[in-house]
Amino acid sequence: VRRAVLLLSLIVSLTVTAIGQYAVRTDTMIGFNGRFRTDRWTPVRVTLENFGQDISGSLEVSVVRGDRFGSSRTTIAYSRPLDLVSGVSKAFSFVLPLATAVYPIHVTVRDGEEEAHHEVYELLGSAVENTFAVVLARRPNLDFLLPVYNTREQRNLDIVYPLTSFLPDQWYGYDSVDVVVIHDARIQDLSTDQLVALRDWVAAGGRVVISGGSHFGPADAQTLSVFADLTATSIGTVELSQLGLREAGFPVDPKESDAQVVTTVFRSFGTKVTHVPIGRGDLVILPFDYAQLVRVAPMSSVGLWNSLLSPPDDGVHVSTLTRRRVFETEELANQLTLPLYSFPSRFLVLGLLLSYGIAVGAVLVWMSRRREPRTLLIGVPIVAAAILVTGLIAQVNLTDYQQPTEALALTIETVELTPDSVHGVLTQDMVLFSRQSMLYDARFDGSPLLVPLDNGDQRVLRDGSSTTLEIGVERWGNDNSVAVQLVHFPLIAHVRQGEGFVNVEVHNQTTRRIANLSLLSNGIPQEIGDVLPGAIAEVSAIPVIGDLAEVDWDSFVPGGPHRAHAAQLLSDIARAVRRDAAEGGPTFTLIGWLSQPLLNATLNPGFARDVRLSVVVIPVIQRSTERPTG
Amino acid sequence: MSNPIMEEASEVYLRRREYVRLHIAYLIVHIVFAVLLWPNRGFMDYFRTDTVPVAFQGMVIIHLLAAATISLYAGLDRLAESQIIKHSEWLERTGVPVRLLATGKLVAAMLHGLLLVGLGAPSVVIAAGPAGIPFGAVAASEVIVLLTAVTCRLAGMIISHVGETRYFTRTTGGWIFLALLFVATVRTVPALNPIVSVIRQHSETSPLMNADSSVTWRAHPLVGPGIALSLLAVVLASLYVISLYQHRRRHLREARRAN
Repeated sequence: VRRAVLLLSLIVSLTVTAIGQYAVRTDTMIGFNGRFRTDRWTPVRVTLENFGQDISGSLEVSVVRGDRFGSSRTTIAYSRPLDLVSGVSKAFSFVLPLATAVYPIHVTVRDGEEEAHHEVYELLGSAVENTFAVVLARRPNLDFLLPVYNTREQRNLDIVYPLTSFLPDQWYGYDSVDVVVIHDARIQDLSTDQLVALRDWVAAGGRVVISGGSHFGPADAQTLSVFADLTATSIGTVELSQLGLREAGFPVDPKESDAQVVTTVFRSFGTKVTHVPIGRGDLVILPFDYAQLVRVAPMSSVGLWNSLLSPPDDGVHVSTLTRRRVFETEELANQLTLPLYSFPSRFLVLGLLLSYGIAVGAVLVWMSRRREPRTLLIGVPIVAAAILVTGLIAQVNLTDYQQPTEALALTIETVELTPDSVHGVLTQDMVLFSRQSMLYDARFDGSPLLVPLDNGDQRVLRDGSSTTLEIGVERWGNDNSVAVQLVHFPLIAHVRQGEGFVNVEVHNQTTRRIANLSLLSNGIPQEIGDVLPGAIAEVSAIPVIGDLAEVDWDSFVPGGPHRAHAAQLLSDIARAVRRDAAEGGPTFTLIGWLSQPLLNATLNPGFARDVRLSVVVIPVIQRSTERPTG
Repeated sequence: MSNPIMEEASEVYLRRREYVRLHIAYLIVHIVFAVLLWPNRGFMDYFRTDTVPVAFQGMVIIHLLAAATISLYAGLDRLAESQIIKHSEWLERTGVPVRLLATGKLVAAMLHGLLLVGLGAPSVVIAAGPAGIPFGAVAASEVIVLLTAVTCRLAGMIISHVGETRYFTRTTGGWIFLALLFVATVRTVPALNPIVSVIRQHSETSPLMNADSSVTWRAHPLVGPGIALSLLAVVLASLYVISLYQHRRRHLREARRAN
């Protein structure tokens, strides 16, 4: 039968080729086993099989997203060059921002400019709404949670078991996922890119749970060594109460505490449940087989997963950064509500237009009253000149050169996974502003950037102790990579917070002087002063509720021609901080001014000028922003 | 000025008090709307809500409607009526060749259209600032306004000529034309609708709004409406010239018969 099918395929293929027709079969996998979350980056894998004539053109995947300016929609096409010889099958991976499930995805194969194949994939009904777990396992052992979480009316948990080959090789491909569970899977099949992507996703705030047990072998440990040393020394049996679940913050049902659980004995972690912080996320190591645990201790098992699937609440672990969108971040959004960045005053516009109107009106009246022919020869050019001059002033003064475009603020954290692997986590608080015509294109509001700082594939420029890196940045709704230079900026804040006070110690390990560093305590600034390269500055503060109107903002900013603007910027950030304080308790934020621009970024050819970083804003959160050593 | 029609036009449109007042009122309308439509909220409010200030869109529509209405009104010879030499007087009582009359009237129409577009242009350029509209898109919108103004002017001239002795035709004909151009075409021939055309030019999908994209002349959003409005203007201009020739022939025929 197989031979007959093969023969038939060959005949069909040859016939179709001979008559010069296209016959392409596409198989598209959207998200993880078809499940995805809207408004997130989503992996899309397209497999093409060509039964017809050779194709040399492009593969295009089109997604629809809302109009930035209104309610209409825009289709964005992501394309890849394609060479598909007859009889050959090829797979292509994309990671695309899916803004909505309402509109389908279009997959188009083009031979040159000609459309060879077109297929439409509906997305409706496949979007995940609540917790989304991706489980790498041979059997669906975690499905026992589904009836616990889900009812007929409400679906609170989605679990998928994708094949390892379908996992994304870009870390932001996991944007929609809450937790990845690794248990008795063919993880040896994962490519290095896939493993690095998974590791980087954890560093950006994701969570991976690794479950041991009798199946866990040396090959698994070797594969997972990108996360931690998971070498197993033996297999044993341990009572549930001895697994360290309570110490790790997981509940244990007292009735089940003497249940016997088969465990892997790890060389580094023993038989204890362990949290390993990696960057902004964490790795949870369960030394036991959770499929066995649920049989011997079902209540504790449900409690364990309830904790693992819930967002961490201890303030140490930050939920996945990718849940945030840049302009929803309060401080930075508010920084831009400034006179500096506002539209020109209405009165300025009125003044300009009135001057123009009066000048032109006067000339028109003058021409009507003087009957000599030369009045027309003089008056008409004057009117034309007034139109030109006013238009020019409007274009140049109100649009082109209204304010400097080099304002940029961002929050950077550096994460050291290992001594050889330093990552800069740009927490997406990157705001560019320009009064140019490309004003509204400046935004990108997708995922944070996790930038490997010492990757041989990237262009790395070393200058003394600083590293400059050119990276490609994927943007929402625009597949064009843009160049950003990210400077390794090791400004480290040690924060110790006690009852009603905070001690902040700032290590300036950068090569630049930080001018007028100050600590905003509930919005009220407290001066720390200039911090030279290599120096340490320290300040103690208590959260105060003062009157922002009484603060002399000028004294907290460096001098120079833009002092008033800087003071306005600072006071605006303070107002935002004060709002946060009113909602969520005391807050502390460090504000410093760089002695020279940190970042020169050419983000878009539409920008007439380079964008430069001139302000650094570091929200001081309860944990230290020091690089973790684990 | 060698052309008596141009002489008359410059006298009427630039020297007559009624037209001076009309042009000043036109300027005031632009200034008032530019100031009223100027964004009230800060830039980030628009940025966060994915919206764009309506300043440009509102201003260009006001500019378009005002220029079109004044052009039609001027074409109908409704203002300073007593000072304007009627078509019948030019054709029946003077020996001015029809070609000279037609050329003069058409050139005057275009120059007056240019004046109207120019007077309102600074307000539109100013309104483009907060909306982030590139200068190319502003210029393309102004071309549409000019073509619309000229088209309305030509329509007004035909109605004025054909209905010179029929008051009802002159008063209602203009309104009907405006309704046809601005309302009836919205769904039937959107390329002919000036408002739809200018909105499309600075919509999200317009290549004029994306500095990354190089606009080929075929894909330029000005091409479709520009050709459609130009064709309409050419048809109206031809009808106008033909009607002038017919008028002169009819008059000569009647004169011969009377002799």
